[in-house]
Amino acid sequence: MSIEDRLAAELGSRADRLGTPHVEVSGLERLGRRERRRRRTAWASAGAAVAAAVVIGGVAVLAQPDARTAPGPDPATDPPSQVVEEPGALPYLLDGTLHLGDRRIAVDPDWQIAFAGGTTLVGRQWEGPWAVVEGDRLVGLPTGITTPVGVILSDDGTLAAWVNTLGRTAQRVVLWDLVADAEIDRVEVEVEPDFRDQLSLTGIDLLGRVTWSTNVLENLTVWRPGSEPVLVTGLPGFYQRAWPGGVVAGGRYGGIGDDGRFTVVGRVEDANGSSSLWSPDGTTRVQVSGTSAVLLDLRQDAVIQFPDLGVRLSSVSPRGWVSPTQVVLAGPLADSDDGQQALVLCDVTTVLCEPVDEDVPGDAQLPDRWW
Amino acid sequence: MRDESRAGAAETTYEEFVVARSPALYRTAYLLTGQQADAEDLLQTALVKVYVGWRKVAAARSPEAYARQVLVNAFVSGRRPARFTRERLVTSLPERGTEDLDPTDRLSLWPHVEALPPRQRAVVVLRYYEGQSEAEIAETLGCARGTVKSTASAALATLRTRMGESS
Repeated sequence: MSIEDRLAAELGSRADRLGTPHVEVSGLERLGRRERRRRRTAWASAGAAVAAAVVIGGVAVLAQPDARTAPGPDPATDPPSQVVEEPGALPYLLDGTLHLGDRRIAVDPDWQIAFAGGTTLVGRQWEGPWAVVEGDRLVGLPTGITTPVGVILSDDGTLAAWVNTLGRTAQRVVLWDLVADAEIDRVEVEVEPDFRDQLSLTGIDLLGRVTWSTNVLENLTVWRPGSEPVLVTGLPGFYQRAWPGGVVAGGRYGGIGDDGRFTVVGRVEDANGSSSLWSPDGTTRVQVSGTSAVLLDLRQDAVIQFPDLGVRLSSVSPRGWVSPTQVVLAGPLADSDDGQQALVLCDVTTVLCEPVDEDVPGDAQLPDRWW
Repeated sequence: MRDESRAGAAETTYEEFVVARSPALYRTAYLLTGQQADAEDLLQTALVKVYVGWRKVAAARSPEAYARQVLVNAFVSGRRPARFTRERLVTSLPERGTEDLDPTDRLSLWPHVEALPPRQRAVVVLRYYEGQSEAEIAETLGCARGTVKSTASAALATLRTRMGESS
């Protein structure tokens, strides 16, 4: 008998001696859903620490790639496998249905929608409930009744945070790991029994720290899970908006140390409003004006015009990054009588745009940011 | 080739696929790893990956071949995330007869197959258990046919040498 014949016989015999495995399918599906979400957000979080080091090299605490330590989440760095799904489409709500590529999920008609780093968040402002989308299903977040700001997302889509009111003089900030489906930490904050002093979450930075202000935009505070919140000091002007690596204030963006000290990294024009959107790693920003869009590259200190959107729109706004290098802009078609909208995908590496959907009804609710 | 005649599985659910195909995939996993516990881990890893890409898997000409490709590559690459092993969702009864000392084991190829490097072992299992052709193995492993040929040749040479030494 040849060795090949012996191999065939012996391997077959070995295999035939095995029993039938017991496989818990529901458990596999649960792990699969978790893995799917982890992979979906991996593209953003994998580059996050590196990007922070590049962009804000002068800010020591953020410059360390491993600074995002416990109790924060581990960055997901596994390379995509051959069965990873393609980067997602931009989701939107229409008549109580969530449209996410070719998927449709029924939701409450009053819900709002946000999108960051591939993660889709839906829910009802003020009251809740809130949920994230996992494949074809909604996974509820244990938010209880949130404050008006509602739930916010980190730019890489891996973290969520919200505020609960505990009484007239206390509120609680909760940071949630969307990849592990687990609470990272919570902190109680004393507030005055006055509407002006209530907390408004403003962002979650690349290191998994939460910032908030009061309703009068004073006393910007940063909270690193596992530590006490500290006031941010050294801001060059009024707080304007979050930046993935820190905040923008007084026309300058910069990082915040764990002691709360603000360190300027650079100047930024037109930092307010919804006309621009930072990339998840904070290295680039897409800004629109009228019906044109430009790319601001912080590393190169360059402003690059997207030459053509590929479709005539009457106005345009940035709505979400669907991959580390692709952002979706949206606006009503110039020739449409009923406000029909188009979604335009712009690639920051090729600086080219192309329409990906020109049939979005005018009353569709596109992702928004309420923080 | 084992039964992979159900071309395409657009109507098959993930659960149906797992129930129907797990035993065959488990046997392959066992021949690759040599240990039941490792085979359970490997199968679990592969089935989770299959779930993640189910739409693509279900649309494949042979979902089982696709799943086997995922399984074999997970074995060869050696990347089996620890998180999957925290929960044991695939279990099996002990192998029948493992407690019995087989008087013919001294003449068995099995210990030598177990000692082969992962890629050689994968080629041996795919060729002599799954009955795959060189072209099919090349597709499964994502390499050239010539690489399969040379890998199989090296594996057989090793086995012949070791059988000669042990006899």
